[in-house]
Amino acid sequence: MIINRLRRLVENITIPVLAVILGLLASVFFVALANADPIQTYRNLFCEGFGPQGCETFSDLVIIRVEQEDGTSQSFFSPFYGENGHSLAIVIERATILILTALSATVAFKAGMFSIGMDGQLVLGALTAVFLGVWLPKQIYALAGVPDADSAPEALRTIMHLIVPLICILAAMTVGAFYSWIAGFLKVKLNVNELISTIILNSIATQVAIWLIAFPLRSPDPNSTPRTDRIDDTAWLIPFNRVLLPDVEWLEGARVGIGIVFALIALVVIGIYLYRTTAGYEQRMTRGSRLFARFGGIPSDRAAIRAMLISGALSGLAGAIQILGVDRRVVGEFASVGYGFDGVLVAILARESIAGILLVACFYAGLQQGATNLQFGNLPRQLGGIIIAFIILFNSMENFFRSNIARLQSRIRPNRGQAAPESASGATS
Amino acid sequence: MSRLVRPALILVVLAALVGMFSVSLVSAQDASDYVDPCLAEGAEAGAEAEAVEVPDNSDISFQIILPGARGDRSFTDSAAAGAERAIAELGVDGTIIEPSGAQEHDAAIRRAVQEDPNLVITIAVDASVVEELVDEYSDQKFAAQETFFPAPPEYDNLALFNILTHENSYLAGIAAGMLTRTKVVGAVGGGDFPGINLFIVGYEEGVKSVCADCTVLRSYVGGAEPFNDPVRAKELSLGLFSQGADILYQVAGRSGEGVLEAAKETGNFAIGVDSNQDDLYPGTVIVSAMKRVDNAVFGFVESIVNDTYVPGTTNVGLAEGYAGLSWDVGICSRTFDENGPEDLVEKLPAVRQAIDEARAKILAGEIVVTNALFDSAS
Repeated sequence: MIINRLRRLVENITIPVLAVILGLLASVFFVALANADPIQTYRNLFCEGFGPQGCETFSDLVIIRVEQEDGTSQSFFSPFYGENGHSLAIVIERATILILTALSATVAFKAGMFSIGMDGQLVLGALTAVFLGVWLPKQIYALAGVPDADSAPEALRTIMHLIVPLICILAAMTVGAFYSWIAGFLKVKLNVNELISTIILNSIATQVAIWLIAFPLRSPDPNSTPRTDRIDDTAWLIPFNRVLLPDVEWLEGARVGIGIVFALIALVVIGIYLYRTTAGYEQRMTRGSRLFARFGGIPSDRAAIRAMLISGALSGLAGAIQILGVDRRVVGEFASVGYGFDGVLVAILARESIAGILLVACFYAGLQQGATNLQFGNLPRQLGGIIIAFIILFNSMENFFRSNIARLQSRIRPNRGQAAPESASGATS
Repeated sequence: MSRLVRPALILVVLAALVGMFSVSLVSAQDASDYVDPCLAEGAEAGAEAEAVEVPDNSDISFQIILPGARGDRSFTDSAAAGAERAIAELGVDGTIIEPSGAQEHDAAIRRAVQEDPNLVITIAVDASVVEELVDEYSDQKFAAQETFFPAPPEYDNLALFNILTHENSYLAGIAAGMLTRTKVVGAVGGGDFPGINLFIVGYEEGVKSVCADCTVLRSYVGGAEPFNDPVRAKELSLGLFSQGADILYQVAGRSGEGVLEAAKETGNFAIGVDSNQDDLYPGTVIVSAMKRVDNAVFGFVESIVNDTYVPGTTNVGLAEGYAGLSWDVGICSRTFDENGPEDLVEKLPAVRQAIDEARAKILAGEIVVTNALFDSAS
């Protein structure tokens, strides 16, 4: 039993690593097309994505030697070496939204609803947050009789700083949940395929968002790209390195704030909900077979709708955090970035496991970051995208790797042959 | 060749006859007297070109953040071309960054600052982003182009450079007003905002100055990607053409490719923008209202090399040579003369003369073109 579990663990680590290596090998062709040195390119990719400042070799990712001012050099454990900011801080900033959208996808999937409506829910949530973040403080200032934000008394601002973001987030979650509920309702009552309905709902939300950003919510400042006003400072989830931890250089350049804490809490809560509560059990049973679950006494329709509500609320939260904590305004392109779709991808790659989501979201965020910054090595920006795509492609071949490993094992040690297929099927369920 | 020579000969004879017998057609005769400065000086300029030795300034570095991906054959490409010219001619070390969109500008600029370059150049980045970063990295020199602040900012480390294009758009409008056959012309903008209306209002005034009864139609691409949606721009253009317009002025970045394509397909005409787009569809693009973003970028880098960097706001336009037409001396695009339909090509000397006169009047202050950027009432 222990040996089996150990082997499963080794497999679970080897397969992704193998997939990444294969993905990198496959992209060599395109790197060569761009007239670049593959090793150097990959070194840049990982250093930019996960390394500290001044990272130049693969070993710098683990231990970095830094020349001191007096001429001697000192070694640091890289993840903790934060001089001038660390890429991992930006990875956390980017991973926050991925974790939340991936959780959103997972909850829906776990109820047998293949909803990919995260984008629509997220965009509407973001717009709700930005609208309230701009409008609500103005109303409060007007009520308190203060002419503008700067002259508001400190006490009022402190109270607002506690309440306003919370209201924005709750409103965004409500809007996201409602928008997701539509797809759930259509599925349960009218048996409309949720994949189709969420795609359509995404498209509607995107168009509405584009119109809202281009006209009613548009900032009056002269600007060539349509965008909303910036949220009031009291609605801002201020990044840690601006106020609370100004001396932590590790965080420099990243907008990591309370958002990541929300994301981590959401991870734990959803983990408990899915695996430790009756409601979670109900929705997981619903996934297996709606009819069978109903015959077993499980209100499967209600479980499906509940899953959609939670899923939508998580997407709305993701949008709100991105706006309140990172962007502070919605730019026209926000509607078509596809954060939600990245979340679906993360959820699928993580095999819908809670711990997996955390790891994959961070890895994916780091790769994205590294890929964008490949340009600082004078490489075309499209190259990074190709490398990411190959890595994901090979990662999605997990079943193939697993069955081949099992076959290999049974060939080497035929007496263990029976155990192998069992572990293979157990891991994929 | 003979096909061109014969009509030309007939024309010259006709023009001479008309000139002799009719006094009322003085302007036509003047036009035939118009000496194309490009043809007169073109050969000389070519001979003057010589190989310049590239100085070694590899210890000077700059980072330029473009608004988005390259490949619009217009604004973004023009900025990138300026950066590439700076790298090649000044021998400096430069990196060109193409973010995937406005949401990546902040991160890209922060990353660029970490490289510790002598100058960070931002192109069409939002004012609030620029302001925040300039304030945060007070040791880093910044140069911003195409960033519109509500009030001129004052930072010791920010050089702001705006190219005002209402005047050269006016000149392009004169071309459109004189060459239109239907008395209906149009403009397709990226979106309805001051930075774009700067072009369109100037163009409209130019059209009206030579053709008071002409109608000028407007259309805006809008949407999530106003400057990267050629398909939508093409649909809009087809709509304008079906309303009777025969010349469209495009002010929409990469979306504008759709405008040019629609003009080509329907046998109508277009006016290009930002870069010299005359050669994209020879015979369809009459002229391009150029905005020398490339010169601005080159100038930024040069100011660092020569140590003449000055913070503050600079507004330039027609007078300083940052805005002009592709017909101007120096570029001398004559693609439309060679590929355009005869009835329009005939009129070109007169058009050029009118443009030269208007240019002189603008520079002398006799014509004041509305600046939609500063005068947002229009």
